[in-house]
Amino acid sequence: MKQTFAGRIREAARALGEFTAKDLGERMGVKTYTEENKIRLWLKDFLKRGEMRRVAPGRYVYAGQDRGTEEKRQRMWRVLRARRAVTAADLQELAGASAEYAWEWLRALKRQGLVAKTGRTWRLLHDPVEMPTMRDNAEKIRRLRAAHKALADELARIEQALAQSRRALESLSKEAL
Amino acid sequence: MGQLQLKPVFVHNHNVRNFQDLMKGLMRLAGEGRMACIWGRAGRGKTRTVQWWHSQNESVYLRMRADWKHSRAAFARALARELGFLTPPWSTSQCLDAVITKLTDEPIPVFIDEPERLGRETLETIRDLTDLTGAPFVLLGEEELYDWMARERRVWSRTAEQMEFLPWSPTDVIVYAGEAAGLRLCPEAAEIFHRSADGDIRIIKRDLGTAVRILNANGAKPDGLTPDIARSAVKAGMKGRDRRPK
Repeated sequence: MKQTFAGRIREAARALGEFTAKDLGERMGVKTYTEENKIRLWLKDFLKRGEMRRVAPGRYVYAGQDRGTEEKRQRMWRVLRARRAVTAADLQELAGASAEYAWEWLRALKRQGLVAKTGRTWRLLHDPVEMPTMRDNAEKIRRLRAAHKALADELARIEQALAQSRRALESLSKEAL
Repeated sequence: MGQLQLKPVFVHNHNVRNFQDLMKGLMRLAGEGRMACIWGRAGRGKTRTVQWWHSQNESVYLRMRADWKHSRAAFARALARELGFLTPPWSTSQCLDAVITKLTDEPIPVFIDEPERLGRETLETIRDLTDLTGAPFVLLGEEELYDWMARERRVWSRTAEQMEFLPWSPTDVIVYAGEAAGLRLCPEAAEIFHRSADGDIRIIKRDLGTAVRILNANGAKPDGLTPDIARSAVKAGMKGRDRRPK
């Protein structure tokens, strides 16, 4: 199975222990400036969610994935199985999830064909007993990835334009000389 | 001024605290077969409190179905499924064997909601299960559950804890209004909601929802819920008691 970019970063970070963004790039075999930039963007994201910690300026350690989300999903899954039909408000009240996350999770279950929505209520259609693994990532992460990709593409375009301008400037200076 | 809104919150009132104490007490008796009896009128938050606890703790929650009344097999299969057996054995005794093995390995609490819907033989099965596995079985139902369990001496002697879910007090109404909508409710208004609903949580929430809508229509203020608005909300909402002329 093809590993995601974040997965490759995690693997490299775990292997390195303490690292810089450049170390990560070298370990991952990154060749282009765009990919290096992508690592920096992901680093920011990892720091924000506490998966990595800054130990010195520019130096980081891998702290491990947050189990909080997993636990929250487990709580929501128990409430859904116990009640068989829930609203997002039930999940907020009984599982302590935010409204946004409860909706996201229920929509992900709907994509897997486990629940169906009638009005405000989500009904469990098929009970696999064990909590289903999220085959597709949460919408927030997908939105974040899309934003990262758009930014990386934009940076690559700027980089290309800069290179072109540099070349044009060089040829102009040569002509002038 | 923004619009007021009733947010879904779980209020830790005296019932919830008593329930938590009951569960702690049950867990202290680990290894012994024991049961607990939780009873109270509908609308006092029994099921919601148990589901809230169940969401945070490894446990089994099973709501009885009326059609299981004469089928011990259906109960056994449902319990086995809740314990993780995707395709429980068809034979009742094999199914119960699987349940016993699983609960002996991992004696997690089992909540049985509305067990009065089942026959006496299922109660005997529950007694066997708790004796053989050491897992606590918590039975929750309406007022008749207490008598239903107390009638069976062998069941009652194994009932280590019992608790009644009491109606919401005016203080609970004040706390709920504050936590859910940021409302500062005066004791008089809280008393109106409490008295009209007879302590029934669903009706209190419904009436408070109506009061919030009235407040929003009149320029919402967190301390603007006067006894008059409370009275109007109660009048507009569905009543907890039958008010038809006799």
